[in-house]
This record gives sequence, structure tokens and C-alpha cells, in this order.
Amino acid sequence: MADSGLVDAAVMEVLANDAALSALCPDGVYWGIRPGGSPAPGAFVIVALFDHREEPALAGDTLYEKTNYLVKAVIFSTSKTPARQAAARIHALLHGALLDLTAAGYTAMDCRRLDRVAYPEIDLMNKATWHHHGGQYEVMSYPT
Amino acid sequence: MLGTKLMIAGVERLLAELEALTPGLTAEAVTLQKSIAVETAAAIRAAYPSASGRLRASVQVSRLDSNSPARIFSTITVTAPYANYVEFGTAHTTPTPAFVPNMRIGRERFAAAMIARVKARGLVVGGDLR
Repeated sequence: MADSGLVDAAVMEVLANDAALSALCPDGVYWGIRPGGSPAPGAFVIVALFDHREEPALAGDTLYEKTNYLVKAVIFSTSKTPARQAAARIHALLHGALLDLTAAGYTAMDCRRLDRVAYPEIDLMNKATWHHHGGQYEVMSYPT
Repeated sequence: MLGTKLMIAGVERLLAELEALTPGLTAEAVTLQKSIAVETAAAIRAAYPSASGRLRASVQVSRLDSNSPARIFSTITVTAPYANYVEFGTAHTTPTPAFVPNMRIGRERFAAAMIARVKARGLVVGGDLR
């Protein structure tokens, strides 16, 4: 039985294993939220499941799956430049990439950015700003 | 400075010809789009968390004017200023996907319903239907 959660893990692994992205976001890659809160200053990557659909095949099988991930850099900074640079690195890693989903028991078909995400968040406690930059990335894959 | 101007002529005539192939379809589409938009807005409201109710109350459906009888437009907007923070999360809160997935479902439902109506009129629908 295919486990779609392993595809989630594979996407996070691609991001976590990249030295350039780690340099920009040294606090790590997290699913949904950074555990233990986000003490400022900080720079990390968030991956979250945004949308998922499956194309059914005969006999209850799945022809392919489309999963929309929110992938964004979250960086506490007076400038949005570091977050923008991290988003560019995320884009270089994911957009058009054929991800290795072998360990997840899937075969990747495509990975595309559907939309950009970019917004500031004022941190009232620290009188500065968290910058959120990234995008929605759709991974198409099928169970091997 | 050089400028480029792109003109596409004949779109309205093409739309009029398509409308003639499917009589009454535009009128049906208006009703259909409105009902799907209202249902989509309800699904978005239901997916949002609620503390004061302000976010849910700020989900609005509106029909945009069109100067063409063969084009219809509806929009769903969320006017609460913190809608982004709820949808995409903050440094301290998780994202809550509500608008994005429900809009996708609404668009696909409308497209599927329109295709069914076109087919019911004996026409063939092809191409990339995403």
C-alpha cells in the first residue's frame, strides 16, 4: 500500500539536504510549524500540505496523485532579501525537478510552482518583521 | 522607447458563434456559476477557524460585469486583513489551507458541469481540461 506521507518526507529531505538553503535557513526544515515556537532571530523553512487529489484507475488503483505543498522560507530580518534569496533557492531545487521518490515507493512525474507566496509578518514582541517567501509547488507522482 | 501592441480580433464573434452552437448555455452557466460560487464560499467559511467570526463573515461572492453576453465572471474574496496569515501561517502558527483547495474544487466543479452540458447538446469536448 502506497504511503503518500513518504512523498512529503522526500520533499522535505530535498530541502534539508541542500547546503545553500541550509546556509540561508540554518534553523532547519519543518512540517507545518517550527516545534517549540519561533524565537527571534530565526531562519527556517516550512513545508505544509495544501491540497491533494488522486486520479483513480481500475480495480481501486491510483493512476497518479497531485499534491500541492506550501513551501516557504520564514526569516526574521529587517530586509526581505534573505527570504527572497531562500525562496529562489527553493525554486531552483523544486521547480521542474524530477524528485527521487524511490524510497517512498513512488515515481515522480513532475514538480511545478503553481503560485508565489510572499508577505511580511510584524512581530509585535520584537518590533521587527518575519518575512515569508516561497510558493505553492505541485508534485505529480504515481505509486510504483 | 519601442512599444509592442498585441491585438486579437474576432474573439467576440467566435464567442457568439459558440453561443449559437449551444443555445441557452450562457444563461444556464450564469445560474450554475453563481450557485457553485456560493457553495465554494460556504466551504471556505467552514474550513476557516472561528474566534470572532470576522474572517468567515469576510468571505464574499460577487458577480463581475461583462460587456459580452457570452462571458460571465464571479469572484470570491476574503477581505479580513489577516486572511493571509491564516491561510499560509505565521512564524508561530500552522498554515490553514482553506481558500486555495476549495477554490480549486469550485473551479473544477464548474468546468465539469459545463462540459456535461455541452456534451448533452451533442457536441464533443476535448483538449486539456485542467
